[in-house]
Amino acid sequence: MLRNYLKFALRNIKRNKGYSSINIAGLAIGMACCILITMWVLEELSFDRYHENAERIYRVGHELTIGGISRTAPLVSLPMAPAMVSEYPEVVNAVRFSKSGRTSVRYGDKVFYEEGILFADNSVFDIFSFPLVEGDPGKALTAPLTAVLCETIARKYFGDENPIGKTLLCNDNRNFTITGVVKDVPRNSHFTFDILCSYETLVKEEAWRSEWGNIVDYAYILLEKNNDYRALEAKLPALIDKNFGEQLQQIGVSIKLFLQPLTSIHLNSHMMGELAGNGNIDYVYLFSGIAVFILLIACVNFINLATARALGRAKEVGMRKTFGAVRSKLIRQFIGESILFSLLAVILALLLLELFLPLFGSITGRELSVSFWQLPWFIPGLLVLVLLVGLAAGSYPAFYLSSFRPIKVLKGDLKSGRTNARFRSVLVIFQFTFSITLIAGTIIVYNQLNYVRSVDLGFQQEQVVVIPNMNRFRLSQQESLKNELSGLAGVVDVALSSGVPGRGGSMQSFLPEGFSEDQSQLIAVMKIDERYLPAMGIELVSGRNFSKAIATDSVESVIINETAAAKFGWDEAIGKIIKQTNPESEEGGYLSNTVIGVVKDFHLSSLHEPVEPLIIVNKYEPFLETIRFLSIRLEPGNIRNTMDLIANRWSNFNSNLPFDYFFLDESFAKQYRHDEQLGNLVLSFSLLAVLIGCLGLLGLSSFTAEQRTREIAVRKVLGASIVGIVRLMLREFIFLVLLANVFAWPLAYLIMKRWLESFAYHVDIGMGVFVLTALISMVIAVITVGYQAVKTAILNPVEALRHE
Amino acid sequence: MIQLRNITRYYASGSLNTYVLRRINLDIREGEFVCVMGPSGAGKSTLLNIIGMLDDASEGEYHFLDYNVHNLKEKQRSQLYKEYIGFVFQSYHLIDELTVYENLETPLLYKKVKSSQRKSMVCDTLDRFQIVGKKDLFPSQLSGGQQQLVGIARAIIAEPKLILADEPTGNLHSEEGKKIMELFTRLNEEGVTIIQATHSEQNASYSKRIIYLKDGWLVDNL
Repeated sequence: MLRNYLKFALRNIKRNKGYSSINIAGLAIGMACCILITMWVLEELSFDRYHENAERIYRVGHELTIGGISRTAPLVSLPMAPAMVSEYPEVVNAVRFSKSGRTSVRYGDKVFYEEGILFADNSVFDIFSFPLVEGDPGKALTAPLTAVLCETIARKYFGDENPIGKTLLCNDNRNFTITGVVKDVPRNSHFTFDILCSYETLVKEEAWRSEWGNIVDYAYILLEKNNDYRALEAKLPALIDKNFGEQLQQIGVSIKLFLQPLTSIHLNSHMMGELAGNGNIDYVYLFSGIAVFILLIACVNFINLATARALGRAKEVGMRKTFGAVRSKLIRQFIGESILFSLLAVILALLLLELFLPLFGSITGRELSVSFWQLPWFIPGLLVLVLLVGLAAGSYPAFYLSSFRPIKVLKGDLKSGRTNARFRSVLVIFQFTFSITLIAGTIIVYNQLNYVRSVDLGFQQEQVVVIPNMNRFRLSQQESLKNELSGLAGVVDVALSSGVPGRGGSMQSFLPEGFSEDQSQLIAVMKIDERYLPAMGIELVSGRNFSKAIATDSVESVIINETAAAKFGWDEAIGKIIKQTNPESEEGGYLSNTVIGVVKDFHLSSLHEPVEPLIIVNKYEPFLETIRFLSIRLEPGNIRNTMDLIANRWSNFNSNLPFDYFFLDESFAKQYRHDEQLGNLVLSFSLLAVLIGCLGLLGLSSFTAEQRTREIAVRKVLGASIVGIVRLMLREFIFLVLLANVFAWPLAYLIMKRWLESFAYHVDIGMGVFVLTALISMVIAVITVGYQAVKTAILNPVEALRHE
Repeated sequence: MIQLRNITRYYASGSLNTYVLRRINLDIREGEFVCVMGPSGAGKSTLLNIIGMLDDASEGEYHFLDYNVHNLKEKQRSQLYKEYIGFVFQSYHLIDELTVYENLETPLLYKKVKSSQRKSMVCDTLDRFQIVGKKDLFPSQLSGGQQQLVGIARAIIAEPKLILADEPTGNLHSEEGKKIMELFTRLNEEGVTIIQATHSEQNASYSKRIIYLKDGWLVDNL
């Protein structure tokens, strides 16, 4: 019997090629999307879980409160983690990390800039599962100036040579001896590194780090098994109190330490200063939802087409029943058929995946290159998917088809039921609601990205080249490079600064005029020279720029932005005093600064963040802020030529370090990388959802057309024109799509509003988006259904009426 | 009114042509009541379809009123039959989704008759066929004879000059069939030209002229 069914099903597929291919293609695309998203979601969820101690590792962060405002960061100071180990027995071990910026690394003639350098305690190998290929995990990083390389990096510098014992020169000033080679960090890690340098180096060479208040490093602790980290967290305020509580009280600051489970960092932690860009649990939910819905759309296609085609199967059902088949047997047969469809679809889906995996990788900026066949859950997972889809898609048609009464069917008395048609309409509305939501979402994401790119940032970001890492050079060197470059043809202006939009920047506490001593404010600081504002096209609203001619400017003058003036409640800011604690003075005295100008707000960070109050200074001491960037404004046109000139001057200036630079606009735009990826993903999935939906609509419309052939022939005989017939056939579907629009709009509005709220500055969702969405969906529906409608309408009515 | 000259209709099947109509010559004047008879497969329906311009002759000329139908384009033809011809089918071909009233109204919609006029025309017709009480019923709620009544009402509502009826009583029992034939006679007396295809001698007896078809040949033209 089974063989009979199988043969029958295969023959059925073969005979109804159009129907079968639409069904299988729809299911396959849906499944491919689903598998892809599932793989991505599983990878997101797998972050950091490969560490043997994953469940026992916690990151220590702090929350700093000053003037009523709190900020959290995943940072601690050097003594904190060791203190926790010695103070609390449940803390078994701790490792400190310090991130090194872009660093030039030289071995012999080979010199590259490296971004992935971390300083780490040797305990990193005890706590995390980073297996050493060479070297002794017990002492590889115990001594200062030692380093462990990842395999890839080791090959990059040393090729086939054994790197152990060799030295790498970092930033032209530190020689690190290689003591080990570690396996490359798996991609599903919330932080990665290429080179690990010993933290002892920093302990020895940078004494300022040992202050409790210099919170600049990362720390992870290993707890004893089955220990509640919240209990430990509750004890931490005492640790702060004991070690520098008094100091904090003096300056009106409170610091609270907190712990984050390692496995929740990637998806749930989005603080300033994360070690790397983390994922987002919202996106995991969003895309899981999309996966489920795309699969549902594909199943709905199947249900729709199967019930629409029911008339075609009715005779068979009738015959089988007269032969004595019971209903349950028929149900089993039909479900078996849909599982067969599902099986064929999954095979096609795998082919599609192989084809489109690289494309997905380039869209998401992450390659899912792991050969998925090797995953142990993959094959069973697929089988579950096949069964699930087969059941979801096959159940309703099976129950519906098997319900036919044999006498009625065989007398040819079966009419396409009205309820059945209505049920199909509901399904089409469901499909299109989802597709339209995605279309609207795509439009809104692209609107926002467009807005973000075109909005006035308050400075001119084009044609600005920035040379980073100027802090390696002395003040006099910086000045001489600046002077040399400003003389070049094609260079408009050259300026030095501590930060540039999109990068850098730090905060310090200030006491603006009118605030009492316990109300000190944590405010962003930027240090610039007198050329920076004009070079960047940042406008002064009132007052004046810094001037070299005025000696006090480099000692006690500051410029603030509009937001700062507003926050301090100053109508007239010029001449106001802003005090800051004097780090040189032991008993906490104050230094006074006078406001000499107010600049128009400009965006130092991405449009996700609101413009913050900003204090701009010109003096060099006692601010810890150091000049790190040299910005060069170029004349438009012939930029390549000018860049050659600049590179040439650089090699005269310092031949040891390769010329390193970036364009300000590109660097600023990089902040929206994740948003752009999201946009591309939503676009891809909405295209696919629309495609699947259209396949279904195409199939459905052809069945409706088939069913209505007689009616349409009659209408034609009565004198209906072709246009009239087409309109008649389109009307029904257009109505469904319009209805779907009505359902989709609020849905898209709510979801996208939430996304837009992640931007401090964003477009409003206007009616325009929805009108456009309606138009697009309508055009798609008309094109899909139109073909069939025209085909039916031009059919000779005699053909349809002959066989009665 | 109708002149058929050497009308031939064949279907290509493989390398051979299957002839359905062979060199038919036929003249029908306005006001005639013609019956086309012959065994199944003789070509009766095809002849009616060609006269009704729903089908094309493979060869030959067809003149309808002052038009050379064989030279007309699809659109002009549709214009022509919309204007002058009403169709009645063996299986009624009412639109299941529409009520009796709406079924009657449909041809008027396609002729772009104004709403108020449409209403009065439909009402007149309902009245004339004595089916006012059934106007809100769907075809499935009617008996076969009643459905055919509606079918004929629909065919004449637009006041055609010619009614083509293909086995109009084929699905009806004799009593119902008789009524339909009487209706046709009355319509013919009012001046409508009627051509019907039928097996039934009894039906044929109502018409003034009988044409016999056999294997596509016109064998007798009384």
